[in-house]
Amino acid sequence: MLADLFLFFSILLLVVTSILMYSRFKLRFYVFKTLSWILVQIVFFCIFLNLENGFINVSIFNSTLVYNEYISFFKIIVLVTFLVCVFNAKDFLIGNNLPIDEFFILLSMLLLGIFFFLSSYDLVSLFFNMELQSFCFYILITFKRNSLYSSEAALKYFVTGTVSAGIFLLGVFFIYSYTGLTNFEDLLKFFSGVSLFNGGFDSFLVAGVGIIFIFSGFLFKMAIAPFHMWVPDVYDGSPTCTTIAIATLPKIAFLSVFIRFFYITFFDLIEYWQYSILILSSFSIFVSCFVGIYQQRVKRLIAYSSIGHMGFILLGLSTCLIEGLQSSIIYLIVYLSMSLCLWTILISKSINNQIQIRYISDLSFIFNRNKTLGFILSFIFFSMAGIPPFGGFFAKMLVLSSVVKASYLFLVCFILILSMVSSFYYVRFIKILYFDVKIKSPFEFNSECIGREKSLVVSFSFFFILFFFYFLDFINLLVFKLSLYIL
Amino acid sequence: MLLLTIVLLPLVGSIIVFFIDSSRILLIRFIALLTSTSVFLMSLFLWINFDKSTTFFQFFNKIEWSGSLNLYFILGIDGLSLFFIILTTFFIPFCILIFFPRSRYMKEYLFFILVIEFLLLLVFSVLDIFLFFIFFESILIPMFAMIGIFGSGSRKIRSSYMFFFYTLFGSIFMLISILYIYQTVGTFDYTVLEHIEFSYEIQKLLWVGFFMSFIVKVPSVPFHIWLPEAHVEAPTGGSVLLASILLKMGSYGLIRFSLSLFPLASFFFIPLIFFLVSLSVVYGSLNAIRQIDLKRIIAYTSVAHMNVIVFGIFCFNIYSLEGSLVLMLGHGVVSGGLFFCIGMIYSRLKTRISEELGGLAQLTPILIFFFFIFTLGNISMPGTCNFLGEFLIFVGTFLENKNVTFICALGIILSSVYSLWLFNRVSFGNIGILFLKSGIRVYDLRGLELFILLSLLILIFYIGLCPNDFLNLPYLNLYFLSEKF
Repeated sequence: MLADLFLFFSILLLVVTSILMYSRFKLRFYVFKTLSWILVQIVFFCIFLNLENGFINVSIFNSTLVYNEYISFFKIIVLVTFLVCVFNAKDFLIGNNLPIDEFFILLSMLLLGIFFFLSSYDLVSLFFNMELQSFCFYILITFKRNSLYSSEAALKYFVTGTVSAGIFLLGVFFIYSYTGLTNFEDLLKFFSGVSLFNGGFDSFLVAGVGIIFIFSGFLFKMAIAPFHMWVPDVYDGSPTCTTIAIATLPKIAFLSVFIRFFYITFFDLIEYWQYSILILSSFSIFVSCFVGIYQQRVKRLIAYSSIGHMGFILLGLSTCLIEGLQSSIIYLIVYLSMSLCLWTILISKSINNQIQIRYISDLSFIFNRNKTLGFILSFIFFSMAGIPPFGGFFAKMLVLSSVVKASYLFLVCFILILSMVSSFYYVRFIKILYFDVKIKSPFEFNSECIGREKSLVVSFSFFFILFFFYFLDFINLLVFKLSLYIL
Repeated sequence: MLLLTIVLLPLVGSIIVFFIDSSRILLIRFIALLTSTSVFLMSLFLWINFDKSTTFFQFFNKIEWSGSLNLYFILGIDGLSLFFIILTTFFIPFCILIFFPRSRYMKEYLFFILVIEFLLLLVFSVLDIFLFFIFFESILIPMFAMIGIFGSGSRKIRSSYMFFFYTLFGSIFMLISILYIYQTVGTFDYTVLEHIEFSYEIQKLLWVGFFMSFIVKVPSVPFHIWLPEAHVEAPTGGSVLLASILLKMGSYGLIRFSLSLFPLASFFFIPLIFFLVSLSVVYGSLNAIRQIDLKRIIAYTSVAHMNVIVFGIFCFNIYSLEGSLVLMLGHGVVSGGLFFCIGMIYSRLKTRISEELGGLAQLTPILIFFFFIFTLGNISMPGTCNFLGEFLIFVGTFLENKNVTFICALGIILSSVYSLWLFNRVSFGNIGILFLKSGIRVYDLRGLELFILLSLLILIFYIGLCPNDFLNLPYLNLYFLSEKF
């Protein structure tokens, strides 16, 4: 609660400062240079306020917003991810002559939206904060105003996003028209103890339809397979600093709310959503592995791989077991550290040398110029492919072990074969990195540095992935503690 | 503690190698040699201190890894795994020595070799099926890089892909079985799982999962395509490791897991195994006859010999089990020596095609002498280690199934055909015309190469002539294993 208030007032202060400084160019330049560091401080304060919030479980505004340890945990994850986004965006914006202040203010507005979204305990506030995030994203995607691709991506995201928001709202309407309730607590009481045997399928059909609609709104934002068409275009078209934000931040937020929404409030209507998640998550893994093989552009390929990873995360949730829930959260953490490391390396490469890494074959320059980065990148790809000693393997193994416990053995077989197919394109990355090394590349320079903050991000996430077996116990216990809040 | 030191020392060495500047080649080579030879000497202490009067796991270490998931890091060896550890530590220094010291990627090669040694030692000594799977799979990464980076041919990327995906495909099913065991039993600990009997139907499913993974590694016929490709493209050290140790992971896994954990299912699937084995022995031998690339020939002979080993394993009596264990060692030494010879021929003449070779007996008589002895080992001449293994295997299998034994024994005749013909083509006849035109001066064996081949030669006759040292240690384990059936 304190963190949200603090963030809100700091954003106001940032807005006022940037308006006041608008005409004074010399001072403005100075302030904008330090803006990212101010944001870093704000983020650290928010992390501390979330860690030591002083209360355990509180709800405010007539239980519209709720605060507990589970939500604080996800807020901290969001804040750390946000920090990486800020680090990456700073150099990119300076390099491309884009306005820093607007970007950072929009990004922190997005953060505020995510904060309220994570806390919201009412369908109405859920919808409002979802829209607050989306508005920020519409502007952030089209941030390179003179780029055609950027505008195209923003338009696509806008149209599809509005339609999905409309469907979400329709689902809220169905549930409200059936029950007259919007609060999660009230809905939980209304639906508790209800099952199909008690009243029949038809009596809850309206609520079931509403759940399916809300569900599809969630899945759209989480980029699960039938709702994934916007993902590659938006990833590819938007400037890379926005792509990092859109690839990570909303996924954390929507997953956290998804867990609270379906595992607490609508858990008794399990028949309406469990099989849909099961089918859609395996379908998105299927789509990501077969469509990803044909991609040539790096960002599109990463977009498809992220669809597959989100499929794995939802697969854990679809088991409706406590192990599945824990494994999904662990997978989310591992996936975030992998993708942040990957994006940081990609963005730093595309700024420093005035060459954009667009196609996969462009990656062959990396190993030549910075061997350490090439090494780290290859390990990240092996981890994404799920080859044993790395974090990606343990995350996948935990998810699949929970699916085995739910006794979907043939599904596990199917998923594992798909993941082997998808490891084909990760291995192709490694092949390009190591085996296609061009001795005389047109961009031959000396080895270059990537900046202090970025190297911190890369090294921390890399060591987390590499020594994940060491952290396994700690993370498992942490997530177990979190899952107790869900039960 | 001794075992833990042996296992961890290569990792330490590889980390040191990783952080030394790649221009200081001699220092890197010295450190790699120092670690690998000291590991070898320490592993001899394992042999000396080994207590052969018990079947329990010795040098036992149990370290808690994740208490909340009930995961432990358990190390221990018994008579089955001891010789694989010694074989691994024995071959690694030679693989380091054989690599041409002025090459471009020296540091990377040594790093990968030490990492492979670390992982192999863990595979053979870890007693937790999940960790076994992890290390079994992790070897993919350094081997993939090794074939791709240091490969000699034009198809190296294709073959590294093949190696990677065949093995990955097999191991997927093993992962499912392991996860199922974890969810039903609640632990990965092998020492616990030994005493658990799964129901008949479940055993069959789990057995298929494990078997898929191991049979790709062995490899048996429908899954053998990756082996010749990987052998042809890999550098000499990689080929030696692949033939002499990596293939043994499959047969080791069959004894250790398939037989011990799922005895009923193993019995059930005997017809499938016998079919695959007889097919692969004959097909592999016939294929070896018509190949012209020397490495391909040896690769196909490996297919034949490894399937004889699998045949021995699945006859479940003490003769054939002991025989297959000895043949694993023998095949490791003999095929390793053959790959060393071929690597030396290739480094002199820059060709491995048998039609371009010929008359080497006049140019490099000492090399050809060693090549002849290893060829005899491949035919399993009496006195060599392979004879002991194959003899024991066929004694055991003759009691079980005479027809399949007859088919597999055809492999012995065919092996003499391809081995002697190969030797004939390489060493006698006219000196290759292509080679004469190019005008390279050919040297005979130098000190280091002589040392490598001589020590392998001594080992062949040591195993062949003093078999008791090798048969006694695993006797009790294999006896109790055969009593399960």
